[in-house]
Amino acid sequence: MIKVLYLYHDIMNLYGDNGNIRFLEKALKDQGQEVEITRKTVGDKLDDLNEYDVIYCGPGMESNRNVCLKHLSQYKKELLEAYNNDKVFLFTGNSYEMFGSDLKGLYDCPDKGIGFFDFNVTEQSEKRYTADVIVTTDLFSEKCVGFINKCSKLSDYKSPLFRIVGKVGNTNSECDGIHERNFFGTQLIGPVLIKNPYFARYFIKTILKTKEIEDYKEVEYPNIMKGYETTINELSKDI
Amino acid sequence: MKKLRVFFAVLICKTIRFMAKLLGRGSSLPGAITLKLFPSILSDIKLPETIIAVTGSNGKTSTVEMIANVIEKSGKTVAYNKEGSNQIEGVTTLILSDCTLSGKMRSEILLLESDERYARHTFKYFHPTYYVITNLYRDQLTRNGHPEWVYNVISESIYDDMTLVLNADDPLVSRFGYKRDKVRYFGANHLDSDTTVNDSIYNDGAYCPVCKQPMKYDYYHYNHIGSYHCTSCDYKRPETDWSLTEANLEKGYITIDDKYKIELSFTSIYHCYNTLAAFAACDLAGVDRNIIAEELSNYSLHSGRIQKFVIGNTRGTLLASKHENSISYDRSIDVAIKDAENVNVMIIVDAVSRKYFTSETSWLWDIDFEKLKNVNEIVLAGRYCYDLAARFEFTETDNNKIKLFVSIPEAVDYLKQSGKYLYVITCFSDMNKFLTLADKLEV
Repeated sequence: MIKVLYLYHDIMNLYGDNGNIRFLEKALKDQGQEVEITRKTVGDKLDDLNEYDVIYCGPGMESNRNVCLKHLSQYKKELLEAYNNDKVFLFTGNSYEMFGSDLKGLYDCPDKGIGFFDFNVTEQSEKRYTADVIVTTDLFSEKCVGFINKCSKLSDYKSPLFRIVGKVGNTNSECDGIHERNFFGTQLIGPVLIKNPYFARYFIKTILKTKEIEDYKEVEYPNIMKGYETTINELSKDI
Repeated sequence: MKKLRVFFAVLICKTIRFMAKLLGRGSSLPGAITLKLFPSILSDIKLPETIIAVTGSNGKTSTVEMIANVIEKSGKTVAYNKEGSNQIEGVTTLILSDCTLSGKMRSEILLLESDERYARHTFKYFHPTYYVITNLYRDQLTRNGHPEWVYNVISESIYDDMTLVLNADDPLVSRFGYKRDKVRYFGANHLDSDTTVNDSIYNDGAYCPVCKQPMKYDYYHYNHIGSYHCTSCDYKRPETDWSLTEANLEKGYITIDDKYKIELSFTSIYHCYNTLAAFAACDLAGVDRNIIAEELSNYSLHSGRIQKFVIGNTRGTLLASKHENSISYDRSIDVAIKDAENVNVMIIVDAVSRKYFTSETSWLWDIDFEKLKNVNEIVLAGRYCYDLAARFEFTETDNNKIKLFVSIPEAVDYLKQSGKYLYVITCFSDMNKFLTLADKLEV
């Protein structure tokens, strides 16, 4: 049984991010695993975080992210326990910003993050950074694609998940995200696991490994793969 | 000096407009050039006493078209941006083209469709008397960020002297009127088609826009549009000045304020809202309510939102929707499934946008495609048909019902033989790729 927690499902769901959970459920079942998805949100107790194998959270409007940060900050101890036990985290968009040290955020933003990682976040309300991007990673050789939509600037972090190698639109950094232990953070929003079959493959393998399941079965998702190829081709024309 | 400046600005703008028309160029170029030469020219113009502006995510063009028609029929003159050039350049062209050389607008009413991101630039120079805001949805996030980001951008275009005319049923829109004096509201009363649960993919009304505590809905008209109240603060759906008291989509009419019956040429809930917003604006502009109702009745839009067509043995309707805008798709799907078993549905995603390049398809995951599972057949076409197909894999739709075509002409050839009624759901960016292969019918 693989237990997945969909955190802040009703408030951190900016743009089709529900696709990530749909995909996780299907892909893990395709691996022959039983899957249980639990949805929790602001106000719910999170003292059982360590009982989940995977914790996913999507992006949200800045004000909503602030609400979640205040709530999540109450569970630093539980988060740390899960992290140290190599539980798999996927935090997309501005949700992973919550794990930084100092925040200068918009609206009613707490000035301290969860503090897992040593980076700072500064938000401003003048300019939105939106871009279609092509990114690479050290984890596998194939490229990934995605959409960045943010108003923040993050200080450099020593182990980014992705490097931005091509873009259509505006971004303000060359690196993206965080990869430490089994924590995957990325500024990319939307259904990143569907848009990126190679990342999804790596991610599913990681989950199985933490459950000491060695035999990953190659499963083909032809429409997902062709969709990915279409986007890589289209973006490459314009970059 | 001012007189001379105005004289030349109007002359230059009109001359370029004339030449641009000959060359088939758009309506924003003359304004753009004039603004380069005279950046604050709009504040030098003598504008009419009544200025109506319409902004929001969806429904701007349709609402403006309906308001213009009613005002013209009522015997008043109105200048409006019928070509939809809704940024400051297009607005400048519109205003200066309507001016005398001394800088006075000839029309009695100025009516503007305003781009939600650019209104703050335009309204630095003059303020609309009535500022209609239709709705705030997840719309073109590749440009717009997100609804609250757009809310803040629109806030910068609002001044105390304007009367806001707001959709009471959209919690983010009605927030513009929260604790404000000069505000009026339109909205729908409880309708037969309402639901008590929000069964769409997401609910942008789940949390209070003011205090961020959970909100409760008495009923939903669609998505997050309905009657809401915060469980913590005093924020709630305001009382309305214009109310949709009945919406009979089967028989095709609505009633406003229990009194004004309006027959609809197109029965969709969003058309009801656009009609209601138009009613409110015309009422404020001083048109007799009976005349408004009469002129809105059976009005069919020219802006090409709905197009009947024939291809081979197949008849159908194209429902122009907006890519990157899940609510617009949800509403088109509602129209298509009224007689689900007997219709085919074609969805085309070929160019995500016509104005800029993006390959972004996250929005497909916010659309409630599940609702299409009972239609006869689903044809997915265009460059992004595989993204669509991947999305449909995560619905309960029988896979045998789904056909894929990268090529739109091949998809059309396939559908020609079917004979089943066909709904085509696609965006302005892609609809002509279909319509050039079809015979258009008058609505």
